[in-house]
Amino acid sequence: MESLFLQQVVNGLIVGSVYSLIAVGLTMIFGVMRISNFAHGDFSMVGAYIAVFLLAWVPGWMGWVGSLLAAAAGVGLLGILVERGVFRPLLTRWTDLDQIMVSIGLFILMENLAQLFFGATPRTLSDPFGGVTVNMGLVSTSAMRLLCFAMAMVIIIVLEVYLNRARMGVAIQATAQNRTAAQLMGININLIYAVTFALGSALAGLGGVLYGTLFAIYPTMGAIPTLKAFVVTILGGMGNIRGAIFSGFILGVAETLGGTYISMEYKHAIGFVIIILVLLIIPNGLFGRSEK
Amino acid sequence: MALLALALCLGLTLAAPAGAAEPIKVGIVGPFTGSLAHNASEMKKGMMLALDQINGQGGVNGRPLELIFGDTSCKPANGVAAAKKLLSRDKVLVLGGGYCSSVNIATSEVANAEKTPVVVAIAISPTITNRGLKYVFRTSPNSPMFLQGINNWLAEVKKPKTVAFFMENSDYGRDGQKIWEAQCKKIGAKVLDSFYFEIGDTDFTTQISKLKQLKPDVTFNIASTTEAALIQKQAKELNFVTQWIGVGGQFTQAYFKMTGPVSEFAMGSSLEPTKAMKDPVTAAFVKAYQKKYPGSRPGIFSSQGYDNLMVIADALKRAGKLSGNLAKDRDKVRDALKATDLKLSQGAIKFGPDGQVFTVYPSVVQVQLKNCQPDTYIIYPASRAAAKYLEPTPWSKRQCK
Amino acid sequence: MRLLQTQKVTKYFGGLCALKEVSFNLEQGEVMGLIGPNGAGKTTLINIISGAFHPSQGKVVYHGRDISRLKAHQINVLGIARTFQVVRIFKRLTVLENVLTAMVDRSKEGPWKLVWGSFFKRVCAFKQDPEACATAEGLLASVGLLRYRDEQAENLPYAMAKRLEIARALATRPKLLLLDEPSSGLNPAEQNEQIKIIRQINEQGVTILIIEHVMKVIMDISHRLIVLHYGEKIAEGTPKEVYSDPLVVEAYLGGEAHA
Repeated sequence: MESLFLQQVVNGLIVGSVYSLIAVGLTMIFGVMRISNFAHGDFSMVGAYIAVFLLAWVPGWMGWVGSLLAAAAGVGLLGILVERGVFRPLLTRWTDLDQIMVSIGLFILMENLAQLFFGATPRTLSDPFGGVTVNMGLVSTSAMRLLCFAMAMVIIIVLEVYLNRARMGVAIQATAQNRTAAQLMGININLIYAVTFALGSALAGLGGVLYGTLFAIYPTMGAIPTLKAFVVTILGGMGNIRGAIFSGFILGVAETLGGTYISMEYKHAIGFVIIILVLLIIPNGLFGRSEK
Repeated sequence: MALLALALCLGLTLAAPAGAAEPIKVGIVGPFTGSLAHNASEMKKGMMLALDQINGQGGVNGRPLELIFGDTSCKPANGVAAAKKLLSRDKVLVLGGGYCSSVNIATSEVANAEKTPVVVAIAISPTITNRGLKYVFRTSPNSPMFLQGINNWLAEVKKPKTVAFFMENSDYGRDGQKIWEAQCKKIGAKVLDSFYFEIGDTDFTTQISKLKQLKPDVTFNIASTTEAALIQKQAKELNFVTQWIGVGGQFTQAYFKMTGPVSEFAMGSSLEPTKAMKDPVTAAFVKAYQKKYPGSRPGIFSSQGYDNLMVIADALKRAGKLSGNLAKDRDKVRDALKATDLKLSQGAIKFGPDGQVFTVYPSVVQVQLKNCQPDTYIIYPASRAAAKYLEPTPWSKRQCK
Repeated sequence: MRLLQTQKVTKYFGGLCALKEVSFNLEQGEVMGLIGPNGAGKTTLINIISGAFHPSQGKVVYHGRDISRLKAHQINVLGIARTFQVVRIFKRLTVLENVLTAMVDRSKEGPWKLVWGSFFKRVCAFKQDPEACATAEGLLASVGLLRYRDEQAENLPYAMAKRLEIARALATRPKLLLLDEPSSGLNPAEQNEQIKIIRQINEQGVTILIIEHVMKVIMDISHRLIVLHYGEKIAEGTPKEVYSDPLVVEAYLGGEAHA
């Protein structure tokens, strides 16, 4: 006997894990640098294309694992370049609105460059499991989906440990909580910015590979992850990393259950309804704390 | 290209080799410039093949056919100007060709006012033939007829007891659903539920999980390439088996690249002549086409262009000797057109009282595997079928990966 | 020995002149009080010394080196630390972690070491860096905060948060400590405690520049005072000298009233 409810919860958790991963990068960058990066999902798109080309070159397991590493490194590097070249000059000089417009410009630029270089034809990543499905009685899913879920969890846990145990992690948290004070503790905030943006972008890249593995890869694919990541970030409290992790799963499950028991047509609207409710009732997000 | 366009605009005539007899002039409109120029050129290539065959066999009643082209650029105003020029200056006996519904709605009205028969080759809007215009014919199916083949197959072969809809949330998806819903009512199939998705969606697991609970015999799925392919993949991941039926436009190279063998058993419809090689007339057309244009495959538009001119030539032949009085001759051709009964590359051609062909509709295709490579094969109607219909099997029984 | 010298430091904010040619010397080991009515430019001066702002004109010389163009974290590494008028602790770190942040990026470790080299060096239980933890605990003990060691900083009472800020500043091993109103908002008992702590710090050889409105505190601990008024230095000397200076009296009495 299969359970629709459990099946939908599993579906939601799987897609939610990828939402979390991508949103954590976004919320980290926001928390530390106060940048709302509307091109965040396009960093995921770049990561996904890195996987496309690497898998074409080295198929199978090696290629897939290599894709994750290459996407993290490649997109992280791209993040450093973008931070240095685009965002850092804006941090002190321009207003929030300028920063948002620039990131939207970046998003349009990246989409169009991708269209130019990669073409509009959608691609999928070949599944190293060869499409094995897993039927666990109450629910069924594919081995690849489970692996994506597991991979997202591993990355999230490693990140949690890094941010809470490593010196750099503490420095990042301190900078997020009080930029000026951190600087006066001898923390080089330009270095923190570069590392944060690289780390956040690398997470987007990793999320992109997983998202591309679950779904499809095309130049405009970044829009949905960006949107979902913003929903998750607002739900979790802007800049709150743990909040983003939990909210990603909450959004994933809320979408599938809402789609099942309320209305399929409003599946995408559910995230926004939750946001509106949260902002009305707890303006700092489900896990947010008011911060000055 | 620019020169060609210029020549077309000036109404460059493409005459048969000079014979003793005076040629019969036929006007052909189409968007020979602009974004649809490629498709129009496909249509023209089909027509040129037909012209070769007609004039090669001595023309029509001893007189060669002459085609005069008018460019519409897919703009109604340009179409009207081109049609008026063909009708009054070139004094063509009949108007063929056409592409773009909006243009043909206008040009057919112009021709009808001039009491000149017009045979529309390519356009799907029902409006063209439902206004009661007496001189208007169409050799291509209109939009409701695009699902005719599938409807017939559902009634005669599949006879599903339960169906579900999983449609793109657009006019395209909702209009298609209306047509299929009506057919389901007629054949007594129960509609279990309807789900919709937005264009650009990538995660369909929620809807597929629900469909899996419903277990419909047939799931109608109007979706474009990317969404359709993702739905197939995710259905496999969730271990859901159904008979998927779409329109058929999704079955592109990109689609098969994305799905691989996962798309096996999915169905749609197709007008592609190369799929219908079992039909001897279609096969002969494909062969002749490839001989005239080595290295190219005739597509839908070439086939529709070919049939269009063949219908016109046949009517001219049956109209018999022309009097030289343009108005009288045009009426004669119109009467001959009404009695058309042909078998051409798209299938049988007969016009209803409204001038709409009612015998041509897309064949039903199914994705089947040969050496684990997916491709579509016509499975219905039997006269054109290249393969037998296969019931979808459980995922665990499928060999190809 | 001279530790710090400002040379005609001037700061404009747009058209407003916040500081006008302020020059003074700070000798090693002394406690210098910085007083003046609200808006006199006291905090601006501290901001300039600590590197939050660069002066529009003039120089800040520290150990014989011009530091007026350095960034805040570079100045900190050279040995200048500060606290804030309104506490700026890292609310969502524990008390101990707050102090440890100050030991995160001592520039002898390159950036790469920071990113990779010390993955598990945060919590003392991991023992990879017992030295840092011991130092941090010692600092907490010296300001009487050791019992709050694992408390979230945001839960501290205000007076304790102010002391935490001092401990955190000390963790960067400053030679010069800039204190911006360390006893504002404290009750008299807490003020006494604060005086004791500041004196102890000074006894350990740290030079202190302190902004303070509470007369008792400033008279108690300052060796010398300078007075700012509308961005200009109007007096300098021992507390006694300064408070009998007619210019100062006029600045305070003629200026706005305050605590």
